[in-house]
Amino acid sequence: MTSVPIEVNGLTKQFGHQDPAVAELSFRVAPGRITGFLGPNGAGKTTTLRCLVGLMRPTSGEALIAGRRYADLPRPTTVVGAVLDVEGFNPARTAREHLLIRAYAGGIDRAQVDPMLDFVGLSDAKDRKAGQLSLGMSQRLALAVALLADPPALILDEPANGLDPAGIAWLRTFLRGLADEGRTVLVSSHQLAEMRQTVDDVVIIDRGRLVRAGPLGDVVGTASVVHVTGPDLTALVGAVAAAGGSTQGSATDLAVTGLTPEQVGHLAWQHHLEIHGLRAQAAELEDVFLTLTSDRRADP
Amino acid sequence: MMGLVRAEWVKTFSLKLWWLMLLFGALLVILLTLPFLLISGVAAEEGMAELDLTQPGALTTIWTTIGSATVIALLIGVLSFTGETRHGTLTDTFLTEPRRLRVLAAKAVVAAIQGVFLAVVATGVVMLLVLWLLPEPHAPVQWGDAVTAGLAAALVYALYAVLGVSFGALVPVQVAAVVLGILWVLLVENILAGLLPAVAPYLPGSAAAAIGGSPDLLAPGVAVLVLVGYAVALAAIAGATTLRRDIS
Repeated sequence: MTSVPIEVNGLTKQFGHQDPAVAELSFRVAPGRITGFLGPNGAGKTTTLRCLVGLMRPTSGEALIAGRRYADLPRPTTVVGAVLDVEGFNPARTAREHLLIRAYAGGIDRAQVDPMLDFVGLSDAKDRKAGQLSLGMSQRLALAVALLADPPALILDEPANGLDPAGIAWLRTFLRGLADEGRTVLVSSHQLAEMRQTVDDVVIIDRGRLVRAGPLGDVVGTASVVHVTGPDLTALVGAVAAAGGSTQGSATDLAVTGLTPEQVGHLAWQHHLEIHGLRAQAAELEDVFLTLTSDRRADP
Repeated sequence: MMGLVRAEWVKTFSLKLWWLMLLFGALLVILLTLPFLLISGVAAEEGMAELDLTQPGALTTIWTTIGSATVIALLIGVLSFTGETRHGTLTDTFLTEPRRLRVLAAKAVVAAIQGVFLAVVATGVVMLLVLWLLPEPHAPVQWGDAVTAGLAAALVYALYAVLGVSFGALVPVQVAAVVLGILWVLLVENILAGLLPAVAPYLPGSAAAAIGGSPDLLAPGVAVLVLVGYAVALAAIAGATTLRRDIS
């Protein structure tokens, strides 16, 4: 599997004279990992993804797949598969016809159609019209269309929407399998509890701007609170601030935010501080998300 | 490009809509032909001689009805593009081929072939009607003339279907494009021709009639170029405007 990074550099998209839907957004999505693209509804996730696959024209900045704009990729569906809306099927065409159309138009071997229907578990429904498929089946059909050309990168917009728990479990296993094969997987969602169990990296945006990006553990880790106790922690307050964290509490009992427990412990050791207790209170992705996005909301 | 055309082919023939359009085309041609066959006979007997079928060349008038389903050909093209906007399949189409004008070209190729099919059906229908219903007495039937009219209709329908694809791209809202297309062919064009006699020969309907062999109009070759010109011009305008739009 060739590794295909996805990069967004300074992307801005403005509709008319409104505030930009996406503003100066930059992030990178690594191959072989599942990256969750998170944000509340209306944060600009769909706009960003549509810019990535050439359906929308950025106002400025660029969105690149394998170092190129989507429209400049030769046979783009062989490089990146995209699932953007599940309703994008003509209800009168069968599942198989939709795949056949993609095969012809994308220059993909027609012999891939039936194995792909098997792969997503639709072989029994291949001659059923798209209008008669359940939402879960439509999701699978959309995945089949996106994966038909065996692309090394995959972009999914809210794929868990409307899926039942079994469907979500299936999707999670499915995406993990694809990432383990070395594919780049970018998944947008506003369902955070679900993403916590699925993603390796997160990119959090709010009102079109990047809030946080990095491995899930780091993002959640730095958002957790580290409680430190000791006889005199005065020196730690300055050290934490210098390292980019913040503190609350007294010189004998500090609550540190913005740093991982490892970082706090290391700072204490560097400053030869006597520590009686160091306890991390883990944050959930929801907490992180709400903290980060409500901070921004408080900003004028 | 061949792959895109085959994809458009599958899109077209996987829907009942195409057969429905063919049926509408046949019905329209039948409706326009029947009066000549049923009423002309009566008129001739009563000496009104609106269309005296005993006169050589009278049947030529009947053959012109083969080319009278231009509105259906136009709609075939219009539906090819606007069907995608209506069902949201345009997202998938432009994901597969981001060079949007190439999609339009592939649709034009398939629409043109559909136009030719429509002409074949129209020719067959009119020939059958003449065979069954032509009242006696009548001048000898020149079947070759029917074939000539059919060939002209094939060219006209192909060009109108291509024109419809361009028009659909320019007016991507299906209902609007269909209504405007019908109004244009049945109403607006005739009014315009009356108001502006100087440009009348260059209107699509007149160009179509010229290809069908109507006298006092453009030479058929020029008429073909006029229709191609409209299709290319509309596609170019769509390419610079509606086709560049964001797909949301």
